[in-house]
Amino acid sequence: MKFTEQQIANLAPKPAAFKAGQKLANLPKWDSYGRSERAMWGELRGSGSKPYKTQIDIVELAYKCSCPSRQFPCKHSLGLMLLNTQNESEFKASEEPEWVNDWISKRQAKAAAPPKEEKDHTPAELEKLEKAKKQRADARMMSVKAGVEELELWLKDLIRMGYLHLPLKPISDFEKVAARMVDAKAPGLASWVKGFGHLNYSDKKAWQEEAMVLSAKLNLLLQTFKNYNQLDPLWQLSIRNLLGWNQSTKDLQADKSIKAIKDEWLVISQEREENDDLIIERNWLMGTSSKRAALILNFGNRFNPLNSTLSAGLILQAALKFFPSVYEQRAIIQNQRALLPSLSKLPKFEKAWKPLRSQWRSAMNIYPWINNLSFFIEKVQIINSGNQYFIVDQKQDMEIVHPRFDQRQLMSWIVISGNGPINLAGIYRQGSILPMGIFDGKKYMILEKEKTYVERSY
Amino acid sequence: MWKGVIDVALIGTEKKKLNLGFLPSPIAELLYAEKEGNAQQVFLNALSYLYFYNEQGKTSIQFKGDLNQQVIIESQVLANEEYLKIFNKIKELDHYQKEPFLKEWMSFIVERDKIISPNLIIPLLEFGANLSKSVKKEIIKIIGEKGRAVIPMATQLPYQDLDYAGLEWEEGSNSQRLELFKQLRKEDPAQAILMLKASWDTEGVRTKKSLLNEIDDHLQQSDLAFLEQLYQSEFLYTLKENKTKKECRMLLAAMLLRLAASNLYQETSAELSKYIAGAKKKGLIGKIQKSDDALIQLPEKEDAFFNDNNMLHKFGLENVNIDPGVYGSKIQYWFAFFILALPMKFWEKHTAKQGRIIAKMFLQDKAFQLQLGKSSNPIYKDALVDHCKYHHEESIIKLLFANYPIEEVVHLLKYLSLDTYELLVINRNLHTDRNVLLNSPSGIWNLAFAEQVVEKHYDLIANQNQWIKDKIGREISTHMNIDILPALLKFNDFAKNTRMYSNWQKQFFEPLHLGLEIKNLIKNLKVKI
Repeated sequence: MKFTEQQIANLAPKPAAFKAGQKLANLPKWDSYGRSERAMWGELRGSGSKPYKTQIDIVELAYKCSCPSRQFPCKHSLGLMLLNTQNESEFKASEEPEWVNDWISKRQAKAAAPPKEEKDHTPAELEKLEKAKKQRADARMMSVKAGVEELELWLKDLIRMGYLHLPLKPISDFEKVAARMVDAKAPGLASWVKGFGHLNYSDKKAWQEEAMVLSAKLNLLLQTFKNYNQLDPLWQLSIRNLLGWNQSTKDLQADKSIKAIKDEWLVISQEREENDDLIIERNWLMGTSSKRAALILNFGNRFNPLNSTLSAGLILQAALKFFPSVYEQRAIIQNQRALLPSLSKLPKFEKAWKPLRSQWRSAMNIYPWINNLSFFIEKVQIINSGNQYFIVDQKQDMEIVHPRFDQRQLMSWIVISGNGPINLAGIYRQGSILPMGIFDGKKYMILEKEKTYVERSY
Repeated sequence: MWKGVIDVALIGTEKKKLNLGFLPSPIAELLYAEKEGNAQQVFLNALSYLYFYNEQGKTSIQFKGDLNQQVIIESQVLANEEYLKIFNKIKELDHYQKEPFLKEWMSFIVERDKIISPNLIIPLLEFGANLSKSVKKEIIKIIGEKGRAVIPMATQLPYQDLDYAGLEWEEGSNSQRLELFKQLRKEDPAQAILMLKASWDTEGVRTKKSLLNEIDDHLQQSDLAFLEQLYQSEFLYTLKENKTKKECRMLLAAMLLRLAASNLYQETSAELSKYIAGAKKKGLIGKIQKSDDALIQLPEKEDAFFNDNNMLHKFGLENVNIDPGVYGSKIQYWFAFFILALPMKFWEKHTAKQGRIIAKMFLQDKAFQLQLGKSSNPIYKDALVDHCKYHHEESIIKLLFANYPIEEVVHLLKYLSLDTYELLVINRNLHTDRNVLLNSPSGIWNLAFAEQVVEKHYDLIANQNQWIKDKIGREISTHMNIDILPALLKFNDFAKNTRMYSNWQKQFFEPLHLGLEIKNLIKNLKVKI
């Protein structure tokens, strides 16, 4: 697997780390370097007495370095990847040194090991545990119920007074209400409230439209929660997720009733967002055969830095497991067999916007709170009409381009496609299209945004 | 319908109630059926229903037009992938190195009438945004039709109107305009003068002085007409003229004296030749400082040429603030101006001596020394140094180096030929002197010399325990011979065992190695193609 410089840049926790890595991508700096089928490694003399040992698992992307950095990947790992990209011929397949072999073997053994069996409990103990669990769940439900009632009142007050007041309200007003939702153990609702504080108030028309959509969806959620007990278990689970119940990755991995979906998964885009102290990395994947869209989340904060193992443009031969929901979207990687250098075949593209529109409608019918729908579409062109960009399909139907599509992305599109028909990967978001990357045959090219690292939004 | 709902939401349900009759009938019926909740709840429910109702009914818009007209077709062939590697390396360079290396890389592509691959266009446009206009113009040449099509969109990148300097010239700040003029003087001196002429009358006198200074730095024969016109009209002496105008006249006079075809040169050479011994001219007033063999005899008192009025009116020279530590009289001060400005050919012609001998005379002849206590100082040393700056006479520069400390004349090194420069550095063992290396003449050093520079720097950290400073490796990379690479790597291996390896790496090896690596890649590409 050869990484492109762009992919390596996307893996960097910060632009400065990538820049530092670039400076290390120089052959004479490395005392030794090499790669095998499953790993890449190198020894680099740093400020310490012993050289740093850097190793990268290139099958299931992971990094290890003996340097003291708390960033993942560190500048040495990034430097090693860049070194490999820029000097491919120098990296001949060779035998792994012992320290690399040890690490990779341990990782493989850990991945293959069956999940730890829970301690055996007596029936009495089990009953006690179940009872305690139920008590905790009931207590949380009571607390959330109170939170929902409070929020309903707040929303009604807001609409009674009129939204013209919204732009004048200080952000702290929304944050106070959001904090009460967190206290009520409904952090999901807190995000909805914060959303009112971060509408696009600089655009007179946009914020009004956004406020309407936010209120419509929030009201639907609050009203649905009132009928919680009448909902079937899958719906109850979906509503709990929206309110902020955590989804356990461990439980999902262990759950044998849920089948993983094997495919060649293309990471069509990666978005990072900072929310208070939390950094959320959203990786949008599409199965090239299954046409399934998946969202893999990755979290970091100041104590646990983001450990990014996915990057836009990567192709994974893997099995993905989806969290149960009325509309399955969030997933985890259950089993990754390889990172592929290119797509083995062309993905299945939509022919026009019409079927995509109907997919969106169906998705909304199933799950009204859906915000994003990833897609592949073939032979589209971008045009400008009245200071607004549109994407036109082969049948001359056109969709409006999302405002977050920036000047740099537009320029990339034009220079790569020459403005001829091109195959596109993107996300249908809030009634418009956010283009993410375009295909040149089987080669997928990211439409890189302007140099902003983390976006702050709610 | 949706707009009506927004209006109610903005004003608030307390002041305006939602008219359910305006809603689509299925929604209105639903709301009537609910029959419960207050006005706020009814509104919120209406909002939810209506939003999802609208979303379900939305369709795409139909495009009317010809999509084929949008397609851009390239007429030039793409350069191969190996170019990309070189550009990636150039990106790692420090700012100081970027421009020359990028220019070399681009000229290679332009010469072959190729263009870069599309995925490189945006990174290259971004990379060149802070570089000079000439680099930007080269970038435009290699990005093809597709690249040029996005230039109008790239409003944040300064690539618009590169050929049209007019707007910046008319509306830019003084520093922007000066920079523009400087750039244009390098690229197209005649065009620069044309542009200047068009706006000259509207310029302030201070700006005029700055612009004349720029002309002075890159004086051309083609400037003569414009300079003579200024000298004979605008900057003629007037009563109560301001200081800057006087300085402008001095600048103009100095430039005209450098141009043998100018009237001022002809007039002045006729006048000055009268003071040269052996010339059959009248009016010799006396030998300076009683030197027997002085070739040039200046008057002890003011005469028809060396007098306050003539010097001020013709050359803008005043007799105020003359440094008594340098000049013994105002006549000596005035005479220094002629040494500075006139080409050595003038003195050679009238003295029938070689330039080196004349310069030696100016430096060493007793007649041209100022006695201060026990020490005697050459009066015209500074004038001669400035003379070299304008006239680049190698024999005189060598003479100055032989007689004065290096730091006083180091800036003249760049006017030497490369071979002379190298010889001088070797003879005086100046391989690690940063100022000496920075003032190297343009061009690539000979391999033997380059090896000595590397070895001497290694010697600094390995044997003399001295730090290498200021990333000298970066500064010398443009001059370094590419064949030095094996020797550089060899010394790098030696340096690994020294205590100051990290200093060697950071300040010398890494920046130099990166520059050489790029040169090597370009060289290999040339060989292949």
